Amino acid sequence: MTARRGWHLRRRDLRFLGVVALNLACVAGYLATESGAPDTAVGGWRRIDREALERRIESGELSRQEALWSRPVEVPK
Amino acid sequence: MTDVACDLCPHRCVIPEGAAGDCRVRVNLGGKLRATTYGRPSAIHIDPMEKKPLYHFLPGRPVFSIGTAGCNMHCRNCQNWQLSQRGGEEMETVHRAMPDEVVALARQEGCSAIAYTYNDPIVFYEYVEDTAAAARSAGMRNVFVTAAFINREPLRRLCRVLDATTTDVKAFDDRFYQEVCSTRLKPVLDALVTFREEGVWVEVSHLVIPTLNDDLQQIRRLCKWVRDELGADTPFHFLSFRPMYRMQNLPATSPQVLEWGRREALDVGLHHVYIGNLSGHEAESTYCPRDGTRVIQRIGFRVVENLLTAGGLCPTCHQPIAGVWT
Repeated sequence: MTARRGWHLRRRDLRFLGVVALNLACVAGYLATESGAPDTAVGGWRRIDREALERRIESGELSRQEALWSRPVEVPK
Repeated sequence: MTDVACDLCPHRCVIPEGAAGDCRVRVNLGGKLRATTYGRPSAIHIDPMEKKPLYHFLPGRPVFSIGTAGCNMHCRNCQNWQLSQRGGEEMETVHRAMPDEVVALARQEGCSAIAYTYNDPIVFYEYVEDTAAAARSAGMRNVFVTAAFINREPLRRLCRVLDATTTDVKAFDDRFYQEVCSTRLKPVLDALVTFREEGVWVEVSHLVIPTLNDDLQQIRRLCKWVRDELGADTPFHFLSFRPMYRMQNLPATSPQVLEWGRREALDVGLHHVYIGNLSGHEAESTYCPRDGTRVIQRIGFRVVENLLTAGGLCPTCHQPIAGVWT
């Protein structure tokens, strides 16, 4: 009886240790990806109300001035 | 369809057709990037130079100030969020003022300088450049009020037409930049060095936010960096935080914390350390770093007394006070 309870506890302990190890692995993975983040974010953009924008450009409230520091990027088909 | 990459700031957005960059105002229309707020300011005011804050650049002069929609930073405590966190098509008020018209208006209002301010002027780069060039031709100065999240090459080019900058360093902590402002620290520090290298007059502001960037060790590190990279004569402005926008959960900065910060900055060796947003405080005035004479007295944004000699010297010990005085 005593021996069986002892074995049962050990199995529970092992399961608990497994969960702890899994958590540690997740934390380590998160920290590794965070510390490796580049200095610059690449590729951000926002959806806009294009119709409203075009309307305000047509009415002269906004501008169609070409911006500097831009270059075309071909999208792979 | 062609995507467009914007290389103006370190976000380096790659923007699909019909969308905007992270700043909301640089838009890909038909495969070309358009600066939609060019010549379309949403805020026009005449401010005292001290409001920028610039304390060592034409003190007491009025400065014609313009800003547009959009920003490449998204600070949770932004005080101009109605302007900065919206695209041009979302604005109720948009004025039409092309560069020559801005210069003419500024002159008409008796201003000898134009400030690009309110939102970060990086996002209306082309408008700044053309207006500043026109202002230069008319004998006026240009002031760039920024958080300096910009790539080096565009900044170098712009510096040719700039005379002064107030650059806001949000924290000396990259994690703060990522979590509070959606940007990074290093490009900002690089930009400050570029301003100095290009001969633009630099003043640094730093908004102290309780619990987020008010650690005195961090403030000390920032001040040491300013001393070593920009020079001990660089004016440094501590500003008081007030609950704003998406940061209503924190209290205003206590005057004591600002005073502690100022003490750290002076201890590190900075010569001109100010406390803003606390009208009537003695740290609003300029003192000679050699003999302590109060050379410019200020109350709020008002210059009450200016004792500097014509050459920008202390009237008692004749120590040159760094700045652009005339």
